[in-house]
Formats: sequence, C-alpha cells, structure tokens
Amino acid sequence: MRGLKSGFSHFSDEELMLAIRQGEKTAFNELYQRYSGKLYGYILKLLWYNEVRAQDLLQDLFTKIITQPHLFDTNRNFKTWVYTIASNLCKNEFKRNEVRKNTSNGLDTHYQLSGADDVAQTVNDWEFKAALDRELLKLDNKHREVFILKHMDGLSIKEISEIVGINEGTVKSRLFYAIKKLATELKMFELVER
Amino acid sequence: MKQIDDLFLNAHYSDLSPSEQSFLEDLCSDEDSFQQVKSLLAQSAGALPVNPPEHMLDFLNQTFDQTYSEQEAQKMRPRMFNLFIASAVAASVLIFLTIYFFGTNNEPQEQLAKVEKKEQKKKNKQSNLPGTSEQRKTPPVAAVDPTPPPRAALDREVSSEMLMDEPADIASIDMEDAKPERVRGSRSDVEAVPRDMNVTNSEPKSNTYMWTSKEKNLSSEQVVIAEVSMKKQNKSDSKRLNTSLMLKQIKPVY
Repeated sequence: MRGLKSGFSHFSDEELMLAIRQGEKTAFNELYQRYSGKLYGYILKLLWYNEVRAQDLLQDLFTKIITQPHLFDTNRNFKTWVYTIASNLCKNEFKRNEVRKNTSNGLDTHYQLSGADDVAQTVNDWEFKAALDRELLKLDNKHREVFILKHMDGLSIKEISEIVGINEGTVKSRLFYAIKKLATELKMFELVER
Repeated sequence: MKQIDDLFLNAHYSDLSPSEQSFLEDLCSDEDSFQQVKSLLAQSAGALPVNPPEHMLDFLNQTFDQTYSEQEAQKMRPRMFNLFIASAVAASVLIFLTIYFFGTNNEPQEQLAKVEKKEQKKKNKQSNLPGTSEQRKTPPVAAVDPTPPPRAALDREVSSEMLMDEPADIASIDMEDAKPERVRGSRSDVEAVPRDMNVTNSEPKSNTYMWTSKEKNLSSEQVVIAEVSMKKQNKSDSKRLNTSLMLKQIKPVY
C-alpha cells in the first residue's frame, strides 16, 4: 500500500477495495465519492426515476462492497464490476415488475420541480434533459441501459459488453438503435452545439 | 472504422468521408440532423451524476463500523486463544526445565540411598540366616552315605530325641522305613531353605560311613562321593524322622 491512511485520493479503485478489506473507512468514503453519483444516476434512469427504489438499490450495492469486499477480484476492473452489480440489481427489479406501477408518468416529481425552479438560462437544458429522460424511458431496457452506460457514464464498448454480458457487436447495434430513436424523437428540440 | 460517438463528438459533418456518411445515413441524412445528434450525445454526457441523499453515507458509515468492529472482535478471539495456548506451553516448558536443572540434582543421591537401603536389607537378611557368607562361597560339598543307615542307627537317633515319655514297648516296635521322598518343587523351594543349610557340617554317624572311612583312611571332609542337592537330602531326612516320630506317637488302645 502506498501513501498514508488518510490520503486515498490518488489510489486506484482496486487499491481502494484492498484497503476496504482491511477496514479502512476512509478508503470506502473515497470510493463512495467517486461512484455514488454515477451509480445513483444510472440506477435512477434504469428504474424510471423511482428515487426510493434507486436509493435502496444503491444502498444495497454499497453495503455489499462493505460486507463482502472479498467478492471483488482485484485482477478485474472495479468499474466494470460495480456496474455489473448495479445492472443485475436493476434487472432483478425489472423482474419484480413493480417499478412502473409505483412511478407516476415515469418521471420523479422532485426532478420535475427542481427543473421548474431553474432560471431562464438553463431552461432549455433542463427541458432537453427532461425530454431525453422521457425518451429514454420509452426505450427498451436493453437499449436504454447501453445508451446510459455509453453516453452518460462514459464506459467503453468492451466494458459495456462485460457488464451487460453481451458481445461488443451487439452493444454497437443496440447503441446505434438507441441513438437513432432518440434523435428522431428529440428532433423538435432546438439542439445547439455547446 | 471510428465508433459512432467518435464521429459525432470529434468531427464535423463536412469532415466525414463518403463511407462514414453512408454509415451514418440512417441516423442523419444531412448536416442539421448530424448536429442534432451531436448535441444529444454531448448533453447526455452531463446528465449524470445525480447526487444521492446525504443520509445514505451516514448509514453506510454506520454499517462499515459495525461490520469491521465485529470482524476485529472475531479476529481477537483466535488471537486470545492462541495466546492462551502459547502461555500454557511456555509454562509447561518452564516447569520441565526447572525440574530438569534443579530437581534432578537430588535424584542420584536419592537413588543411591535407595540402592544402599536395598543392599542393607539384603545384608541384614543374610546375617539373620544361619551360615556365613564364607560358607556360601565354598561349594556345598558333602559326604553322603549312599547306603541307607541301619535301622539301629536310626532308632538310636530317634531315641536320642525327645521321646522319653513313650512306652518302651511301643518304642521297641520295628518301624517301617519312610519311603524316599520324591522331591518336587518350584524355584521358590530353593529359596525357602537357605543354601547354607544344605551343607552338612558334621560327619555322618552311620556305621557304614565309619567302616568305609576307616578302611580308606579318609576323613569325612575328604570323602566326596557325589554332589547332591543337600537340601533335598536334608528334607527327606527330616521328613523321615518326622514320620517315624508321628508313628511312634500313636498310642495303642488298651
């Protein structure tokens, strides 16, 4: 282990996991800061913005990291591993078939309210994001998941193929379909390059 | 070939090659639609992350503390157990070494004392028994008369013993000779009678002996007829005497 106990910011994800195994709470906090936002957004979008369920799943995920850090193979990429867990948790949630029933129009009320409070300058952005989320919710799970992982979380095709458990060609075709669908649906928006 | 997002995010529509334009034809047929998709992907990248509620981190920290405090406690148990075993082993080794270095100094003395005691006991036993060690050293050589002593001599022997109260008639009756005893016995019989007792010190008193010794001019000590187990001989003699004694004690009924 390099560095002091308190300075985990320059540690890789895999090194942080090793530190967590040895009971380093600071390492866990560092890992949480790195991934909690991304994973929460990912789960939230996959679960049609059901915040309660998304928070539950995120909590379950990090609890697993705390209680069963030995499940992580240090030879693997942590990012891929943690997204695989999140993906599987969401799939289990899909199987329960309760998500849609508990959501209202697919969008979370908090998200809508906070978007409505934004100033005029960012209205277009929020409208676009809201529209994007809405269109994403219309997509199939398999297309939505690939699109989120690729264009929102910034994972590579190879990583996505590992997480979802499909080959890279299938990832590309799903991605292509998702982009085409979204571009068609969001054509009405004045999309300006920033 | 470049990936779709690379084409959209890192290039202008005018920079695309004809093959790339044909590849993207399904997504965007002209420059405007290309820009739309480009904006879509660019803005999608900023859609994440969404911060989770703060209480989640607190809850997870509590879980972390609980988990690893329990694990430490579980680790301590085997440590304590190992410590106990180690201390027990160390104590036993210490005791063993203490006995080895300090306790064994007296041991040879004690053993020596025991051996001396045993020897002393043996000596005492030997001294209590008739016969000396000198006699034991000398081989038990005895002059044994091979012929049985004459009856008269036997009678003389018997009469010399304490049979004074017997009636003369009874005493004069010829006594039947005791049958020679078949000596039996185990090794314990050998020890029952001391070896010294086997040696006949006195000269035989039988007439046969007297006659033969006179003829040969030999002293009783020089006459060695045979080495016999004097113990057996002695036993048989004493038995014979006792038998006659018992027979003589039978009183007739008048």
